[in-house]
Amino acid sequence: MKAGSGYMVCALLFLLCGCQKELKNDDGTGGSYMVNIVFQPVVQEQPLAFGQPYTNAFGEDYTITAFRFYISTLSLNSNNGNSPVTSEVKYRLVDAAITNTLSFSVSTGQNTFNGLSFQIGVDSIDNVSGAQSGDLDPAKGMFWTWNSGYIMAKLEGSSSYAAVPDGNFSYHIGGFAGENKTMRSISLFTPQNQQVTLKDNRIVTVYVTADIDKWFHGAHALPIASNAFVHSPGTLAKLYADNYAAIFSIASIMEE
Amino acid sequence: MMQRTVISILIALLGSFLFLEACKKQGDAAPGLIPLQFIVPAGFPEPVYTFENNPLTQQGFELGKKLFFDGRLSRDGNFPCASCHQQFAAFATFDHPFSHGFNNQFTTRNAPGLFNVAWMKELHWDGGINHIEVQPLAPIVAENEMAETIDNVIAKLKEDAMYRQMFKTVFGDEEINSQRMLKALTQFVAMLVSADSKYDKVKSGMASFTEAEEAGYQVFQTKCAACHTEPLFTDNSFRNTGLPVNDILKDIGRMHITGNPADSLKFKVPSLRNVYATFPYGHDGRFYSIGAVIDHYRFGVVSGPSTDPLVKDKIAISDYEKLDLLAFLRTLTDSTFINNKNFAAAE
Repeated sequence: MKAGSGYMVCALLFLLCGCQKELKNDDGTGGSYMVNIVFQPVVQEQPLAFGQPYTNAFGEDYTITAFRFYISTLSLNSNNGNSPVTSEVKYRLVDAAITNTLSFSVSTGQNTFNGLSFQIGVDSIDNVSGAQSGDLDPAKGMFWTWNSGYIMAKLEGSSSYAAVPDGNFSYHIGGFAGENKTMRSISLFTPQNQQVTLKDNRIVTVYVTADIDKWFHGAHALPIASNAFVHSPGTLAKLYADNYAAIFSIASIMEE
Repeated sequence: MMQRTVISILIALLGSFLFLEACKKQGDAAPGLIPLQFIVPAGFPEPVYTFENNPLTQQGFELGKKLFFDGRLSRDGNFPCASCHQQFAAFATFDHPFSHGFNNQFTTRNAPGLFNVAWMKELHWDGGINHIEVQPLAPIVAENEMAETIDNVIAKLKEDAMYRQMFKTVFGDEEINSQRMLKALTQFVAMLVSADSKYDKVKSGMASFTEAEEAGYQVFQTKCAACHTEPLFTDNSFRNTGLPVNDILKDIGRMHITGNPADSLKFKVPSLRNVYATFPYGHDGRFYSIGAVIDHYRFGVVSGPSTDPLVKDKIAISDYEKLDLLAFLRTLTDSTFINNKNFAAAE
């Protein structure tokens, strides 16, 4: 009886170890530190409020009704190099409307950092691998059913400048193949290039702002009046991808 | 006691080894499931879809079949996959250029037959779908087809105790999500292999062509096979075959997906297998007979910048050759496939 239950426990332990993703440190010190990452959707430094009227750099009024994007391959960076963090999932769908998608924890083996990098979007292999689950579930509304592929980032709202009958603009930005690639690498530094030291008994939180206003002018000038509806891969989508690559910055680091 | 401990550790190690193996080899079916073999017909190339990460089982296939014939995948319950993909038409829509969809609407392209889909790298007339597993999402959410949301479909399936049981049997627990639904549907659709026509029997030496069929085969090989390549009778490429554009649909075909003007008016080369069962023909179903399609290549091709070089100067086919060709194409009907009870709705 005792041996039997011992067997069960052992088997269960082995099973758990066997199926869990690798959790190991790259620096070989054996230490592992938790870091909280918090995304803060803002418009011109003010926290995003859905439905609130804003004015962009072109003097166009707009309100926001949806803002979502995929992130992956986070890494905490220091002068010694980049250290990919360990996270339980490959992709996260960050949705401004769903609070618990905005913050999460990762672990790292490196005890210091002054930067954070990540990618916006879903890589090409996961765009061509058939039915997916979790945050890549097509039911999340981030998958084009008529032209297979993920929407890397989505911004929806309304503006009196949107030249569409209902005044609603809608930017579904995607494209994974060759020239149409809209995945973008983001590399951010801490404010004043501050070196953050991680310790076992300290919780560090990195606040990353995503300034939606820069969606229209981050790298290219893209007034709402020019394009209110972008729903397919191509030249225009790439311009918006360049813009969303420019919306992020590290606002602050909290150490407790 | 010591001995028992050693034994139990050994058992534990063995058990964990098996578990680890289970984690690694996702292609294997769980215990209790009856594995099914996907058989590549003689002479066929290796399929594109290999059931990797979707272990093919009798129960998975049956679940996929149930979903295929279930109207609940559509908003009002009237439009299962099978409403546009009818077995007696080799899973095309019989006698319809376009298929009926939700709220008295029509589709904008002719429903293709579903067979040998496992060999397709891209699906749909414009090749917009890059993987067989995600194809069903397109008709499910299209407003003029099944007009449903993925979330609603999943919610409806979850309400049904039979589905919960079937998903549990196939996937190990009762969770129903789009990935599982799509993998099950793929088990059914990918198993729709058609390779038992008279042509196939002739190829394997079990039958012989009549004189007309043989002559038609010669015509086919010299004048059609460059695009309708054996044994699939399509090279799965996209080509502009010189069909004048329909002014109402203004369907630009492949260019809709690639955005490349060179792809304007290009559509997927359809397989000629079961061609007698799948009329009408063309991406918009404009041809009501095979003879009319052949006549298009003889007399009707309208040449434009992206028209395929193989057809742009029309194809010289005499009246005699046309009759022979029609005789040969009839040998591509696979009655075994069309009547296979395995692919019919459960009683």
